[in-house]
Amino acid sequence: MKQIVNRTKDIAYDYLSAFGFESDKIDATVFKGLIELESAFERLRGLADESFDFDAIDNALHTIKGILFQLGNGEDGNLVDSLRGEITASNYKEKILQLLED
Amino acid sequence: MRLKDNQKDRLAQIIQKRFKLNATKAKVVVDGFEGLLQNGDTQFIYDLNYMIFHRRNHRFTKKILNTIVETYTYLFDDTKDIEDKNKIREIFEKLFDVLFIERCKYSKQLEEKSKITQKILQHTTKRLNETLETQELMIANISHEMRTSLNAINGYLAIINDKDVLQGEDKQYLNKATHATRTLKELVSDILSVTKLNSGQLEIQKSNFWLDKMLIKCIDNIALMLQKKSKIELRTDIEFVPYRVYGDQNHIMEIIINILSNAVKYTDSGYIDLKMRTSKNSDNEVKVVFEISDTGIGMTPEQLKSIFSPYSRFKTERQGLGLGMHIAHQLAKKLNGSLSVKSKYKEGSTFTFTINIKISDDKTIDLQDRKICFYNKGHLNQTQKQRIEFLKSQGANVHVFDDEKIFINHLLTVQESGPDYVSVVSTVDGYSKFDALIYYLKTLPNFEKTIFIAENFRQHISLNYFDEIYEYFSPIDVYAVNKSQDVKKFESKVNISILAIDDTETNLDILSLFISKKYPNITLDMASGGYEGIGMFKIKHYDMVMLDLKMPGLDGFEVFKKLKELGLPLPPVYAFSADIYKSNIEKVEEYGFAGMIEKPLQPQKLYKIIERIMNEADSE
Repeated sequence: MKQIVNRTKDIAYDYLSAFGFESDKIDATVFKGLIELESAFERLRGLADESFDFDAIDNALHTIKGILFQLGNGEDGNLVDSLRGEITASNYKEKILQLLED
Repeated sequence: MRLKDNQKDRLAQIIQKRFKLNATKAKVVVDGFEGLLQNGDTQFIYDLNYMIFHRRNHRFTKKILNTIVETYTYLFDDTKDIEDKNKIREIFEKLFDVLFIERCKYSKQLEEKSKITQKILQHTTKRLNETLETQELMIANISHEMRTSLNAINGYLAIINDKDVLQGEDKQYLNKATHATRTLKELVSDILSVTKLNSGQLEIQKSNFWLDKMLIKCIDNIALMLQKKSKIELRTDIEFVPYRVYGDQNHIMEIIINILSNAVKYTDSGYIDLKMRTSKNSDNEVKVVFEISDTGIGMTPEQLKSIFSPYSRFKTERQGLGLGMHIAHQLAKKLNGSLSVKSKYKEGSTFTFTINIKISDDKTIDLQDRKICFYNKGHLNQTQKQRIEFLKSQGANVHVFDDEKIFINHLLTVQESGPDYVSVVSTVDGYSKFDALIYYLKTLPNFEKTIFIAENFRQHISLNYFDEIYEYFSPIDVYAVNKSQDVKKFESKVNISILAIDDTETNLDILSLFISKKYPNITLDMASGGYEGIGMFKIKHYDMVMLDLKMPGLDGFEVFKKLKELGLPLPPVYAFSADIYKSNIEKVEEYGFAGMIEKPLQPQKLYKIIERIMNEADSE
């Protein structure tokens, strides 16, 4: 998770700079985006400790994917998206923890 | 064998002289030696061993050796009897053995000592390196974290500033805080760069780029600094390079910007000259020389010596910590280039940055059949001529005018579709005249796709209708951009309102960034959930709605259904989603959405949709 957040931070500045936004606006947007991304990851961590709730997990992964995409980190966004298709009642804890350990 | 009295006296003298002993002590030593010689008393050998061991000093051992040699030579020569001679040889062999063994032991000890010293040194070096690495890593981490926090502070200060709620001295405090944060951010960035350079963490990232465009970006970077110094003029003499190069553009820019901003910082009036010259090393490599001269404060020979050392800032009242030139110098070395400087105190400095860059494999740009009109009031310089030749060589249809009347007449009498690009270099009056002419030309259908470019424009007037304005020269690839690819700003003055509903704040922030940058007149209202969005829709008319499909509570489909049920006029509603699956797209169509806007946001697609809606609103 820490690595994904750090990667996203680096990518997001370059991604938004390429569109010519003012650096101050980029700073604020990326900062808020990363906070939201981290809290979405934390929400997901909470879901791994609870009993299986497919919709809640899928929603959390969807949010993470959306933020990653919007901040220009398509590679990790796709990774999270593919995880959505792999989650089952028997593997959800393992899959979530695996993602959070990255 | 017994020693004679004269022999004993001679031996005592030798010992006295060598070891600076008094007569009594020397006699004791001689008596001990006689005991060994006479009845094999080993006490003398034991004492000798002890002394050597006790002293552990190679000079002392050497003194004993010399004494033994002198004594042996004397006794052997002074003794006539063969048996006595043999006895003397036998005893002295024993003494030499003691010394030899002692020397061996001593060498061994030295060897061991040396090994231990080496081990200690290795260990200390390792620890030192570890400490340095840890410190560098720590500095890098702290700097990185500090930069993140400073970015946030900077961002929030910008938000407060944007809200424009502060007045008077409060606003001044905000400006000061913003300024101080920026300075701190630059400092942290410098420290991070130095740390990365020293620890070898700096990554070289290569890409294809045009050298002229890169220099325009460098000039843009110092434009604000230049504006504040009205007595300085930046002059450019940039050779046109008719191909792209492949190198680390960002770091090359960092070096040039550093030198340029230093030139501005240390020059109060006069000129800053930016020159670029190239020479081909081979078919696939070019040597590029950037030269930046100024008429600033210059440097004394002493200052010149330490210009590339860290913290070498000379005038303390000028901004910065003096790391910039150190970084530039280190970076130049890292890029296998060189950075040198010549300076005269109170006259100015000249920095020369030389680098070999690969020529890109992708050397051409698509300009086939592009119609380009150049107007230049005055003679074309060498660089302009080279650029025009290059455009022609790439298949462009280029017309060059130097007479204003003929040029205007040409534009006004265009029968079919107008030129793709019109580039103007003129005077203050000339630019104003062309700005008005462009306003008229844009109403004509045959100029619908024309891009109007003002070059070499460094005037204190505003141009309203030129599409692209360059203070010095336009980058060559501007002629490869098609107007339909969104070069021109949308000129409609129509204000439309958009409602965006998404539970993820980042999505709304990014959307707002893109929309407000291109269409500052558009009102974008944002709701973080379905119910909130429906509530807003009930009380205000919107020209467009963007709806996230997957939200907690009411999802996008349910919100859309409820919006339809309200019975209010329904504007185009677009699905806003990162789930671009066939099933989702079909469902979106089935529900009657006007279309789908993908995440990540594709600005060109979004702008097309918005412009269509603006056009519709305009025609109503």
